[in-house]
Amino acid sequence: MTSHNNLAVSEGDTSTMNKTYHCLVGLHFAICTLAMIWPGALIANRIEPTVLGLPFLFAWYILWMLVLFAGMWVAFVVRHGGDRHE
Amino acid sequence: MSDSVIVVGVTLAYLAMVLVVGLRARGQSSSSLEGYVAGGRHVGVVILFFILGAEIFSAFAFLGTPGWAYQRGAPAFYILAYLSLVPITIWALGPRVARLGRERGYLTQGDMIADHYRSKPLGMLAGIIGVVALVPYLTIQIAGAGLLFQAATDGMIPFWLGALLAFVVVAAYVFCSGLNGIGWTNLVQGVMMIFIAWFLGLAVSERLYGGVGEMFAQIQQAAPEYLTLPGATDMNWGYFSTAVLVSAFGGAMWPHLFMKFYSADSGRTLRKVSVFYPLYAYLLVPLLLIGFAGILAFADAPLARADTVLLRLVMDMADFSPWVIGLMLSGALAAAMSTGANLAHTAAIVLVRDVLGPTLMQRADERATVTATRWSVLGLSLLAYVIALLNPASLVMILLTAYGVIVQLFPMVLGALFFPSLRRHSVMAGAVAGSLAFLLFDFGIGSPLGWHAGVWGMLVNLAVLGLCQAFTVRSVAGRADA
Repeated sequence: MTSHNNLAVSEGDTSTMNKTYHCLVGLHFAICTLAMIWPGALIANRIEPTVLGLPFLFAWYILWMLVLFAGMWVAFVVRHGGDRHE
Repeated sequence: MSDSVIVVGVTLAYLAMVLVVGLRARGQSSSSLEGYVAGGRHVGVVILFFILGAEIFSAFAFLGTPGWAYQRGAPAFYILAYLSLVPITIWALGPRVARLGRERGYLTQGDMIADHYRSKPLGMLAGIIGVVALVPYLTIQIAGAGLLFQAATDGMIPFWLGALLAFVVVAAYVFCSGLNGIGWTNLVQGVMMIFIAWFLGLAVSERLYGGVGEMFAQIQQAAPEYLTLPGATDMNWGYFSTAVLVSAFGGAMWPHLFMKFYSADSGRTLRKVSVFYPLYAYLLVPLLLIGFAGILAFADAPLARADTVLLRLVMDMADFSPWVIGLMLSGALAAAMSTGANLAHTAAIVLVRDVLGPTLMQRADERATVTATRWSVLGLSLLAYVIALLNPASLVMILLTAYGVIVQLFPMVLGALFFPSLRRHSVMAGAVAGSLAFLLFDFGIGSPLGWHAGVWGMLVNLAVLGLCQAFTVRSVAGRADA
């Protein structure tokens, strides 16, 4: 696992793919961040409906923690998963 | 009395186990400086995950999180938000920091800054800021351990002895095993904390209310303002949002987090760790439940100190056996000690390498440096212990100040990683102006719009940096024309 590959930028297609990849990851981060502060959390700022006994706002944060994890997991597998990039 | 003996016995057994695990980790690589500091740069994903994770769950998180939920209600979700957003910085900066560290042999933040900007004073400045910020942080862990012992044993173990016990154990294994010691003990401590936190969170709401859903239904009846923002203490959206941003993105500038980037064996490992990082925030969910349980339990007689809500609930209200109280104490101590170990380790390295290295120890060889680092671990722990005995009360204030100042390193570090055209005078002027502005807003005139003062400091920092940069670039261009 002595990989330096993930930072190397190659020509042509790879570079466009790189750009798309970084934009998508950045977008995911931005959405998750905004969901947890103003204005995103504003729309979830209520008690009803409760989710599994938790007030809605509490459940909202638990949900977005999971969304953030899931998105990063996908991004990791796409970029670093398998043998291709080892 | 015999209850206290059981509590103390369980806790001492736990401390002994941590000590054994920490000392046994003393392995192959601890004789070289790189081995002692960066774990030889071959720390795998599991250990790194616990190193990074266990240090953010400090005594403050274990006691302060329920305290916030109890006192304020929904604003405590701020802690969930900022913790789960921390990995964004690790994902973005980590691989590049790790690669630069491998290629150029960096071990500290100051190394990178001094090398990139070709300025030893700038590296020293970063080092001094780091040590000054880390010592009060360490003091809070020590004071936390002392308070825990004192409260859980009904004073049988006094404050000074409890604090001393916990930190003799920590200093011993960090002294002997360096980062390897921290890795293995944090594995143990992380598992301990997760188990204890979930058990207590579910058991407390079950015993007092008959379940989590029932508990929130009762709070909704009696005190609904706790369940939505702005909560019971009227925290505005501006402060809530900016506090999340400053803590999530500025937090990675803490030397103890930043330096762990160097110890990863590849950028891939760091990314993998950051993927799982948001899951760590789930540990705090049961601690929030405990805090919410306190809202109605102590409705008639509010607690003088919100931070004691976990202790008071477990010991007075929920009627647990002394075995459980002993385990709770061990879990909370695990939080304090795992953070304390990292802080002591980091502060010692920064002190020796960034501050003493360019001044007193210019000609020291590697062996002398390792020795100096080890003794600094003991010296700094002792210093923090003495400060804890003298004055534990005003420390939170000092820590918050340190936080606002350390965030001002952000542009400097980003410049070293991604923006090679930034000049050292610009980043230095920006950092100084930003720190002063932060102090002014925080202690002087009050923060505009009620936002977190760190954000305003950062804006001033960036503005000064931008102006200096534009000015220097123009004057350089002018000189080239002439």
